[in-house]
Amino acid sequence: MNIETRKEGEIVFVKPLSKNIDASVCTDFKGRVVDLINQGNNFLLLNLSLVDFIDSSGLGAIISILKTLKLSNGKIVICDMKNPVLNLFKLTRLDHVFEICSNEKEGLALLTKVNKE
Amino acid sequence: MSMHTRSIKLIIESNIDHIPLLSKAVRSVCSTVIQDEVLLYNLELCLVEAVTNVIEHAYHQKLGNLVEVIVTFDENDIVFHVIDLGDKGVIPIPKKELDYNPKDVSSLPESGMGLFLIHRIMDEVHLSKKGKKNVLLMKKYVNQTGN
Repeated sequence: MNIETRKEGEIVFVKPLSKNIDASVCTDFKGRVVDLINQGNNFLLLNLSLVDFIDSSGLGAIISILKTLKLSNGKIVICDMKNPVLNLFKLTRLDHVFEICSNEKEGLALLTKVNKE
Repeated sequence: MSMHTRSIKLIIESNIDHIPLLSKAVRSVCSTVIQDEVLLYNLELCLVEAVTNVIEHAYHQKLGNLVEVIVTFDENDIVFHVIDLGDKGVIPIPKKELDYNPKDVSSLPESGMGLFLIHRIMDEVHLSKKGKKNVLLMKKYVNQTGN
């Protein structure tokens, strides 16, 4: 699975380039992001602007990333979700678990604020 | 069955990598009667969850088996039949809500959400055995405006 990453200060931008995060790619996706965390990157901005479809396996991967970050007092913000994907988060009540922003700019501002606290 | 009932059968090998081929084809079929993007997504999601369950639990991820999907639709509803010859059907257990505390990260589920989503989205879900076949029926009521 192709993922675009870049770092600005303490914040790592993670942008999956695949249209699907499903059972066929979720293990690879989770592993790559957890590797980033294990390298000391504790503040992630997950940009889902190119993702059209997430299934329960993909949600499980994102939850696993959140749990890994919690162990290192990290933080993840998700931005740029398409409406059907956002609706999936609402169906599963994960919109009450994750910080969700409409775009990268808002997500970056939120993470920067958290990082300074 | 309505005069306007139409049906299509699609078959894939029991390979997780093939599921998107199936799901995108079924989504395209559904889009002939549904315009709502969220509903199209949710129907695709239920199919993906059901077929993933078959491959992972009925076929234990062994290649070389077949998963058959029949999509039937008319002006009132869309029905998916997901058929396999695996060991046993995965019994869908109705769940009203996922059981976790949003403020307790450790309680969040990393698996087991698929059946919840199927029951949450679909209006009818039944599993039956026909000879050696496991048949999962998922029905969604729709109206003529595609909502």
